[in-house]
Amino acid sequence: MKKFFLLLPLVLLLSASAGAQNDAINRFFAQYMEDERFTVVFVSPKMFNLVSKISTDDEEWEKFRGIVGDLTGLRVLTADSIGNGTALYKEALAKVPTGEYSELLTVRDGNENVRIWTKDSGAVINELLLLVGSPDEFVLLSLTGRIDLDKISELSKDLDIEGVQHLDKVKKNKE
Amino acid sequence: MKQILFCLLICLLSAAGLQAQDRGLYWKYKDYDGAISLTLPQWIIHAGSWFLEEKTDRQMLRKVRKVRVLVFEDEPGPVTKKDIDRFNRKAERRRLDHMLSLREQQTRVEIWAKERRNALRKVVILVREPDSFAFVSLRGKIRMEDLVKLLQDMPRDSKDGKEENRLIPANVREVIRI
Repeated sequence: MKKFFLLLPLVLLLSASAGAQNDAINRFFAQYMEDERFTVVFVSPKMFNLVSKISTDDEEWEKFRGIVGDLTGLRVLTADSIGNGTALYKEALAKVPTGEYSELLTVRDGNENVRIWTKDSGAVINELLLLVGSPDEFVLLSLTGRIDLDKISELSKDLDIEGVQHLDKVKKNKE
Repeated sequence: MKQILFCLLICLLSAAGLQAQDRGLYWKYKDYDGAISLTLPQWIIHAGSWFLEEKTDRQMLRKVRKVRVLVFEDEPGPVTKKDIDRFNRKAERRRLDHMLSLREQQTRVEIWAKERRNALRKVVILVREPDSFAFVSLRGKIRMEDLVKLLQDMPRDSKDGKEENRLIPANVREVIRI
């Protein structure tokens, strides 16, 4: 019983710190949510849920439905012709709780930096975080749900949302 | 006794005032200067559906029971952030789910929907720009099968200019294309 009481605060502390880590990304989103230099897109879990319920005999749609069916949310913070994209990239990079996420991909191509992290529990990827920074572009994308890396790059073709095209790099990385 | 009656009267008046403050966006602003507001009942929507060429479109439109539109054009309109916050709170209370939100510069698009028993019962679209405001509320019973039909019949455009099947309807793509 004593052990239980000793472990309880530890568990509570750990869960609080995990929440705080996640909050860092949330705060970053919140910080620039109203900034007019940025474009913000939020797709709710309910939207993904609704899309997954629409079943057709269209092969392409079914493929899309298969991908988004397991997703629970998408948030994109993006800015082009911003001027200080690299500085923002560094700022966001410092806020990513690296202990919580595992790095999937790092690309540095000229002035452009791309990083993708995933958060998994066991064999299931629960979150994918994408960060892109170049002198004139910045993208922060957070995708949650049960993520299949093989399928997720397909979203870059199907969703016309700026920033999502970088998901294509997941596939390229796997190849 | 007089005091009790007086207190009761004040309470009733303040309650009525509170209720008035809590009116929806449409009801609050429909009579304002510059407001374009209309409510389309089911029979008008049904009559309007006869002008549509596609059978699927006609059938789809007939699923809509009521449409409310409130537009302020070429002026910011009187709708304040406080009104929007109140709308958001009210939407949550009325089980409207936030489906999508987008902000590009000063243009904000928000879509809310209520889904029950595999059918969309209500869809609310809010578009806010510095010089205009639009509120569209749609009530009805649009089943998932109806959305499927709509998706299947939707003309879609390809890279070479020819029509092909696209996953996301053009009007939605216009909204979410940044």
